[in-house]
Amino acid sequence: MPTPDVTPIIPELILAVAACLVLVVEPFLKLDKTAVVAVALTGLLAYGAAAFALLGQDMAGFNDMIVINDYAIFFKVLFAAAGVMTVLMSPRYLEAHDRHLGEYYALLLFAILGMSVLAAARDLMAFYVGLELMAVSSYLLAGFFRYRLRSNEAALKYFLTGCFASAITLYGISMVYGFTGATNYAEVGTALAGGENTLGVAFATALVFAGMGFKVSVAPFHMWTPDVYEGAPTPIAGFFSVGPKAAGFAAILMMFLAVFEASVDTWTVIFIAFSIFTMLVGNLFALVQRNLKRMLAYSSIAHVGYLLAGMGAIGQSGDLLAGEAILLYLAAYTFMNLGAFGVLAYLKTQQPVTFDYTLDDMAGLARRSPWAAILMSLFMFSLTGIPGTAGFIGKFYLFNAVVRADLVWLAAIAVIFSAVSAYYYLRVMVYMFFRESEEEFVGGEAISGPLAASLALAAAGVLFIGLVPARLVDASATAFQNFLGL
Amino acid sequence: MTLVLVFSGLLFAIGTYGVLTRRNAITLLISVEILMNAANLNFVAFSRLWEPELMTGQVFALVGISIAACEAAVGLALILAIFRRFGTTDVGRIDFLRG
Repeated sequence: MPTPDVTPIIPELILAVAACLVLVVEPFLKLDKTAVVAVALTGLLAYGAAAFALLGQDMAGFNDMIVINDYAIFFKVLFAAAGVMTVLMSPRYLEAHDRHLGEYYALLLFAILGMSVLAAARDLMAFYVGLELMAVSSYLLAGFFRYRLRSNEAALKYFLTGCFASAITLYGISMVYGFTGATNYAEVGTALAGGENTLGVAFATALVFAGMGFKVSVAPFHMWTPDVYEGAPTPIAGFFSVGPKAAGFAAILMMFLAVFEASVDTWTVIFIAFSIFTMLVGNLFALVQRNLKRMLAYSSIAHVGYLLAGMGAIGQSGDLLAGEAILLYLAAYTFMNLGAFGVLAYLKTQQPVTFDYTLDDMAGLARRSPWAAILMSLFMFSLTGIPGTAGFIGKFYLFNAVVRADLVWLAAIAVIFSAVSAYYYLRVMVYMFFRESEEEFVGGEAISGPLAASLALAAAGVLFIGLVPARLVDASATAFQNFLGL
Repeated sequence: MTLVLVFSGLLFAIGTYGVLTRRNAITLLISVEILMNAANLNFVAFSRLWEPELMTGQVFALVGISIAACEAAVGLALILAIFRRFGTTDVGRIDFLRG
């Protein structure tokens, strides 16, 4: 039996080794967990670097189950960046809650490993294993504060809805296998292009769409999102809002463009309909939230709505531009949303008891902690889509692609909803800069240490993508074109 | 063949019904397991139909079973932690996060 070529999974191997090392190192440490953090960070950086070094490669391994190409590498680097930011913002936050344990980092690395497999999978089996690795690690991370009621409840809700979604996806996959007799994306795509069993295939497609819709929180499958984000540890909530979403979209893009290519007309309509509904639900519910974590949860649902509009544009026109725009948007979104959650994590470490993520807690922040207020404003501007920030570039390219696909009305709806979203994003700034807090706070410490590095990285990402987008635009263009040449 | 597919469809319906109507966390977990087994049954049946000598579907079913085991382990651990805190496994009563 020949030895398989492991080149396509070198980054994943590094990550798996790092995650196991974290578990090995952890029992030898007493209270100071710096070594664990260092191992996790090194692992993530090595993973990102290994992925980056493979740039330009295009090969498949393990019976064409896993590929390494610019598309997979784009997502790997993005996940590495999200992972580094999450790890950096965690130590202080976990110490403030007396739950600084090594398992946290191991679970985080395993979740990223699952996401990485999901983005690189070219076979339904690899896809399902990646999806579950990501999901099971996420359930545990959501419930990591197991002595807190909210965290418990968040984990249970995430677990039950997530399991149901996985099971539905699995059933859909089993039907796809039944109609085609293959699990490889390319083979399934060819078999489905034959065009028999249209009703059954439509049912299977609907099941897979619903399952993945749960994962990336498409309305009406979004019910778990606000509860989970509110109850989960804040850095983890930030990670959930970017990581699994990016991985989910990486898989959705591949699934629907490679596997269900034959039924493109049907799913285009479905994506557009769900896009409008998701934008509506996300933005309207975000308007009435007074808890910032819940507001960011609904806003993340709204962002999923914009991304679905991009999916509709791909289906409508087959245009490359929309696919590139989705990748670009996901990258921009990763930095700005994680940054916003990072600021919240910082505020929680300053007042572990009194700060409860409400708008009123933000009052007078500009006076107490000007840097936190400035960074939060930057991330809020970016989420709104103000020019000069990453959010603007993302929205500009995405809506432009939607217009190019002759869906001007859809782009108009998306722009109107973006204008609505300005209300709830900028309201945070009104509280920070123009409201005085009712209680007196004893001066907290300035942002420092790893948390500062994490926020600086997020802010740098937002400004870099916002001001010099050319490099990332090129990167997402190559990545997506490369992916089409499946 | 048809019989097996009808059976798996029935399992799917039972699982979905259980998830949608039951309020006990453990019953919900069992319903999800029934759903996953419906899919596993499909894989085995289709494997026999398409490629009796290759067994892709049977391998997929094995993968599905092992993943279901992981999910059950994690789920039971979570439910245990919750039972210790709340003294109940009724998901209707575990509802503090809202807004």
